[in-house]
Amino acid sequence: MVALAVLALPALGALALAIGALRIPRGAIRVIGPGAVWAAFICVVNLLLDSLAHSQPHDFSYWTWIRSGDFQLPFDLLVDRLSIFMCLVITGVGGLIVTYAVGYMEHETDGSYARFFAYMDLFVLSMLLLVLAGNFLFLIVGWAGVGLSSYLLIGFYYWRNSAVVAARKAFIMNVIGDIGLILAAFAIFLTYHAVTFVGVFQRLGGSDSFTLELIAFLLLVGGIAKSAQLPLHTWLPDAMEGPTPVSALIHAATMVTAGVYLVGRMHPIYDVALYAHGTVAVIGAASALFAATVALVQTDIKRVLAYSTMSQIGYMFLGVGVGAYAAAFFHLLSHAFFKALLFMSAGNVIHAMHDEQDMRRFGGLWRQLRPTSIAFLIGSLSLVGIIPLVGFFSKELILGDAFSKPGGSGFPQLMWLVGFATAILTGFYTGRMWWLAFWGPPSPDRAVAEPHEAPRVMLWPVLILAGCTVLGGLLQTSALSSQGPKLIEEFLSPAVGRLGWEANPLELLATAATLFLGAGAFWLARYFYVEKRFAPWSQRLPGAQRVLEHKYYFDEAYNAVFVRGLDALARGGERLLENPVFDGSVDGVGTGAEAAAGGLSLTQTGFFRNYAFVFVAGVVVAGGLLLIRLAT
Amino acid sequence: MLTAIWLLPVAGALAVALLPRHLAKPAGLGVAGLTLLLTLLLAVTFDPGHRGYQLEENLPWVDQYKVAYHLGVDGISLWLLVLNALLTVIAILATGPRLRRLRGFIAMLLFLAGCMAGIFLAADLLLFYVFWEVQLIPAYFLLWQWGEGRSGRAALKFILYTLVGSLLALVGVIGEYIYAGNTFQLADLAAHPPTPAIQFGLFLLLGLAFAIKVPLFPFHGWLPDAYRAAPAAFLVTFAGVMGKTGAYAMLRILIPLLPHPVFWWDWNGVMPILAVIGIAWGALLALTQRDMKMVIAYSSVSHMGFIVLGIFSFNQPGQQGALIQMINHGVIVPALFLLVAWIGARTGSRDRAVLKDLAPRMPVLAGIFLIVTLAALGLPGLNSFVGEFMTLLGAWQFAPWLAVAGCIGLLLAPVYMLRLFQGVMYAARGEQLGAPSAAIAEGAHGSEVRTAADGGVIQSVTAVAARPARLDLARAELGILLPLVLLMFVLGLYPYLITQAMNALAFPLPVPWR
Repeated sequence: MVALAVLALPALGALALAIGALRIPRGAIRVIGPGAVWAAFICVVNLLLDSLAHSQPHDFSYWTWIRSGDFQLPFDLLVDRLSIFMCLVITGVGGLIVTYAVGYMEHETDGSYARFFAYMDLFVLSMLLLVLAGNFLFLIVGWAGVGLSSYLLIGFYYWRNSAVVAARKAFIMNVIGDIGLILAAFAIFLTYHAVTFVGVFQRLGGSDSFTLELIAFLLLVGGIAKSAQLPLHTWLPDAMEGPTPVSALIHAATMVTAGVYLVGRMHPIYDVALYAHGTVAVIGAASALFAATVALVQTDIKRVLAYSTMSQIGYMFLGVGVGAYAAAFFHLLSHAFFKALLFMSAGNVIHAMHDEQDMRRFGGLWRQLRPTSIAFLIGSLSLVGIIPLVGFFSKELILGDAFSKPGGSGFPQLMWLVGFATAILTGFYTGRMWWLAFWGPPSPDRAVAEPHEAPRVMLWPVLILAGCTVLGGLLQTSALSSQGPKLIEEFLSPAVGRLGWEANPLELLATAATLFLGAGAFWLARYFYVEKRFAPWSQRLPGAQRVLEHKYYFDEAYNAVFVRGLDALARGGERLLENPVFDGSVDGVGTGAEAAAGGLSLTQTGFFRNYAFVFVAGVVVAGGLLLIRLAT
Repeated sequence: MLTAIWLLPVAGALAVALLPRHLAKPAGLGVAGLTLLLTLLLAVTFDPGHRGYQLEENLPWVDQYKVAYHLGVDGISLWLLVLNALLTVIAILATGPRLRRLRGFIAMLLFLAGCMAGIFLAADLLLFYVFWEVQLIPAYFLLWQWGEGRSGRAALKFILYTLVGSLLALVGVIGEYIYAGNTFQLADLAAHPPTPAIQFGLFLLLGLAFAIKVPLFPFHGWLPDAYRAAPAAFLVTFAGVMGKTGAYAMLRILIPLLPHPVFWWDWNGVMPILAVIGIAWGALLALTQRDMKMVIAYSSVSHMGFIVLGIFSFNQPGQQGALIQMINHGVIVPALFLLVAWIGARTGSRDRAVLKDLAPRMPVLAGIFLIVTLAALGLPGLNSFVGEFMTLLGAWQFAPWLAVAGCIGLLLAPVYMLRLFQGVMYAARGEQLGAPSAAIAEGAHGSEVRTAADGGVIQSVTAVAARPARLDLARAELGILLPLVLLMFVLGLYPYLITQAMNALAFPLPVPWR
């Protein structure tokens, strides 16, 4: 029942806030909104203690959702190490972010305030359902539920059209992913005649590789849509239209990592579907590099963070793609820490700058917003992967595992190379963001001369996460030496298995190279953007600058092909087929009859209507008479 | 008891027509409520383990031709009867007391409900046909007399379309009688199907009638005009139930009586293709409509495509999904039509190009509209998803490419539904309005609200903009919608409630290739 309570508590919170949105006092909202998440967190900790004592997974079945023939679908929850791990991230980091939002959303009207926390609790509920679901159908329900809450929260400021459009875009792109999952579920149900994960994984043996690859690719469509990987990534930067706590929780720490969770959860399938598994790594590496290059030219601080999120999730995809599951999930946790930290401290800055988000208009915040600046610096350095922050240990673990993986004719090493290049770019764009926004003299365009530090409710969650970022590396230090603690790997091994290969002795060299070049790039950015010792690189490469500013023209292409193409198709279909053919076939008869009748001024007397009625009545009466005659 | 389910509304219609005007609505409501109770009682006493008709009533009618007054209920018809009764109650509740010729309107609604109940109850082909034909009379009058705009024309078009179908169906019914064992009993007819070539011809005759009623692409030409003209209260049962009589007839008559309609080609292969085209076509056309009502009308064409696809996937998931989808569509579309009608009554327009920014002025309506929108676009967890998932699962089992093609409907539904909802409720293109001030938020849930049903708050959109607030749902309107919204959640989370009855079939639904 504890597992059900994990879901029930945020559900109750969301329900209470949604129904009482217009009446409930603000004090109660402040308690219910974050309270529901923290209560769920306590239940998850309870599950965790249980699981530490005996690591057996539990599959709790509650009721029959549907049954038709041999196809039976229960509502069941799978509680194992992986789902507990995810639940801890969702409710722990989520609880901090929702608490932070109590301060961040303070300026909203009462109705909007309640609406915000109702949506947040709905999100937490859906995300928990996503990771706890024990069968494919409820995975899809949770999957769509997080898409819905993401839609609702991106479009939270519905009086801004840009937010409305961004929300719709996110929803529709995620529906593409949902459809991938739905089709994958069909293929799974009809191939294995099982619906629960446990049941399906037991029957995998002996199935043909085409079916497995098909299933794995369809699942991957769902994963890349939700995790904003190429080529379904365009919604994520626009999603920054939502309030900043939303960006921290949904579009950085939890929801966008659902694709990584999916591949990890389905690892028995990916371990045998080799093409699909390789594709996961390729998409991850490509997205990581792609996003890192685009982040080089963004000027909106939240968009830089959005692209860096896409890039970091690319690392996680790379990790699960080469089979380094524990490393990928470690990076998921570490990214949840430092990216939520970055978003929330960026939120503090935006708050202090009266909703200005352009980094070029900040400058000099280091002297005025010291605690927030320190938090942001810790987050930035962790993003770059500076020792001893958690980001170093998790990212290097993924890269090291890829570097050391034997076989595959150099494929894992190629993936490592892309990750290595991305790490250097990460250092540069993070440095650009940090130096531009916080260092140097205040920008002349700055909206607020004397910014105020955020209130305590917004500062404490940030500082707690900063602490997690500093200390989180102690969970698993195997990126440095194989002797240190391996808590993450140990904890997750019953769910995702252990790494199948030993570390290459050269791995340490690769790690050192990544670390120093990344740090160097971070430092180098200072000479571009603060000291101005070098001319901006874009002057030498105007073409590259333009391509990057247009984000490789993905949006333009999608708009031209899908949005405008679809509308043109619909209008053309209506004009050329619907109106003249399908609508007109009988209409034409009617119009012709009316026109003819109009000449005889018969329609004015309702002749045709009456005629039609007489016709129906006649058929009925004639039929009745016939029956009576036959009967007698 | 089964006789009462169809006779009670018909008798009630007569009574309402004779009662004084001010009693028409309460009396109609009483009759419809009583019918609903009867059907619920039926659902409670229904035995989901029993094969064959339940609570049969079988009286000889025309012995010479073995025509019988034979009623029965089984797992397919049970919940459609409940839906019909529920929507009739809702339709009468949604009828404004100031409607002209109120008595006639309510009487006709009840008459229609009785006929449609008869269709779902009939276990005799000829009896089925009589109800099928008679339901046109109230539908025609409701559309012609109480319709908006060029209602006479829309009614004429509707009647021409359906009459063509009906006359062909009459030939089909007689053909069934001659070629399938000289009986009109559905169960007997199902046991002795004629030769495939005969089936091919009969399928054309009967199938066309049912396809027009559903409507199945490309026979949906009557639908946009009819739905545009029909008043909202009538649309509750017109869109909510009448289309299902066609789908029900496919499941009850086409599939079991004509399982092998193969001559020049195989009709069983044609129907799912038309269904898939209909799914995509309806969704595509919903994109371009400016009238909110028309968006829903075309979305309805798309959703009915799912039902036909499920029926003609010839497997249990598909056909159960089709049944759930019939119920779902009957729950969602009436709610959408009512919401759109109420928005239209409050603002004086149903044009999406004119309406915008309504959410701050009607927060409760916006919230309900959002839930219904999400249900309509097939959000997992709400009811429509269940039907779509099951029908597509069935289609995948039949032929995977059909399911893939059907997913076009899933992909386009959020596009047109969200464009509709967001366009009307939220900021329009290029707008960056300020956050709603506390004053509007306060006023927006002010106490006194005049309802559309009370004669309508018809004012221009500019007047709304100048005089915000007090446009939200009235309590009575909320009460009308709440049962439907509740059902969206219940059916989404526990669809087994409906489908467990479906094992109790009157006679088996054959799989042609076994």
